[in-house]
Amino acid sequence: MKIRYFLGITFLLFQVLLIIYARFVPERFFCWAPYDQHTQMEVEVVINNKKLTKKEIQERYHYRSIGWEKRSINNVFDIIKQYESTYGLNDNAKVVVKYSINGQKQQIWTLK
Amino acid sequence: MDFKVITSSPFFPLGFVNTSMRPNVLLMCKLVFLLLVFHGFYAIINDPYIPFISYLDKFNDFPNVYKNTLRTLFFTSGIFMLFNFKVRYMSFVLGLTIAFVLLASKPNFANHYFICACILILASLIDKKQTPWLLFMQISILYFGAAINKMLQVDWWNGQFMHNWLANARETHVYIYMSDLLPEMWLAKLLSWVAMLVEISIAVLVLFKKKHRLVTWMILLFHTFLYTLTAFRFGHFYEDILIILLIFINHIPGIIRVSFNKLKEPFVTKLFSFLNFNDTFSFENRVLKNNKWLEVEIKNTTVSNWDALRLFLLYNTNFYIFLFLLDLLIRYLFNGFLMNFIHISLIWITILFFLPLLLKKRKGQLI
Repeated sequence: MKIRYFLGITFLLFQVLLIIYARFVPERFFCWAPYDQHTQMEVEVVINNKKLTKKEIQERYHYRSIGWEKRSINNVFDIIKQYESTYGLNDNAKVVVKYSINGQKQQIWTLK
Repeated sequence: MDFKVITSSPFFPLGFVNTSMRPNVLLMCKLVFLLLVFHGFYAIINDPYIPFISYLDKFNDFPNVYKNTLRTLFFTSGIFMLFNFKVRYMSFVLGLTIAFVLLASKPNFANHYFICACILILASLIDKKQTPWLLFMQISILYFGAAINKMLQVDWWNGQFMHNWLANARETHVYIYMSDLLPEMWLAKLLSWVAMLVEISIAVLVLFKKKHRLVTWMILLFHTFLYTLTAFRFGHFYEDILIILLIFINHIPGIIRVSFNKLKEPFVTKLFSFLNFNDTFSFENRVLKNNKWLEVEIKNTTVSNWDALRLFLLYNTNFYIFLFLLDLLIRYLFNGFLMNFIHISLIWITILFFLPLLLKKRKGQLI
């Protein structure tokens, strides 16, 4: 019983560490942070001078290409960066994300 | 066919007593599994795609192995748990499976899946005789994380998030109308500050057993108010958190005696006796005095009529299964405004029915 309790406490402490870790990184996964930002976003992807459609972008990242992002917009950047540095490494995609956090002024993020 | 042979079997799905888990915790685990099934979790179990752990990409060299393994584990562990076979092992496997589904795909990550994984894993570590403190602490961490993330955002203090979410994203008419009646951003700020205060309060109060009744109602009212205002369940997070509230039901050792007034309800006893799958209750038909139609006796404390009905439902696992299935039925029969209207109406009627349990003085450990 003590071992089980120890495992449970360890699991919970790990979550606490993830919450603390989230303070030092821009992404907000596994830290119980839904709906602390609400971002209107639009993703544009150009490969070999061809602009991908919304459906193609959705199929590429398995994520919506336009609409409201209910978590940190950095989660979206992270997904795009990881895809383009792994599966899409040879595509040399040019990715631009236009976004507005909580109704603030629009900003533009470009994949480097 | 003698149904009693089936319903008294240790593998009967609606039986919750004769397992290695507390009945309310097992009920929670089963409902979580069914919730995931009915919300199509099966469809998101796939091979790794933009995983959190880059090593998982190696499984893509062997197509469908990861997907089929996790799908098999998901259904096998879930079904075994439904049928009360090695429930704690199955709960652990199910929780771990969900965790590995999330770890395999950043695009699929969602908090309403993550909480399911966490409570299933933690539930498996809790002995039948233990108070589920691990789950109480999980709730504390959940609301602590949520509160901290909000408190460190300026847009939560100045109401900007709330106004953008309710007015622009959700186009919540009630909010827009009331906001126009009040000074600028006043309502947005009020809702923001109340949300942060409620979340941090829950995170702290849940760590004190004497405050659990208050915490249960805070969680229930907070999330139901959010659902009422926005007609939005945050994926199925609203259902997740309501199901998790089952952990706050105090375990009652011994039999609960339920007496129906023989003169008024002559046939009800037979029906409820048939549905008494867990032998939690003993039903009898007798003449009750003073115009009582129902009497419930728990640990030498006797309550009658509407209070008795509230306690009877509170400790009846069939009641929660009924609510779960009713919720699903409404979802499948109706859409849009009508679905939300019926859902919200029924939820508030149920809340108002049970509200006296919050307002009445505690009767020992009953409520």
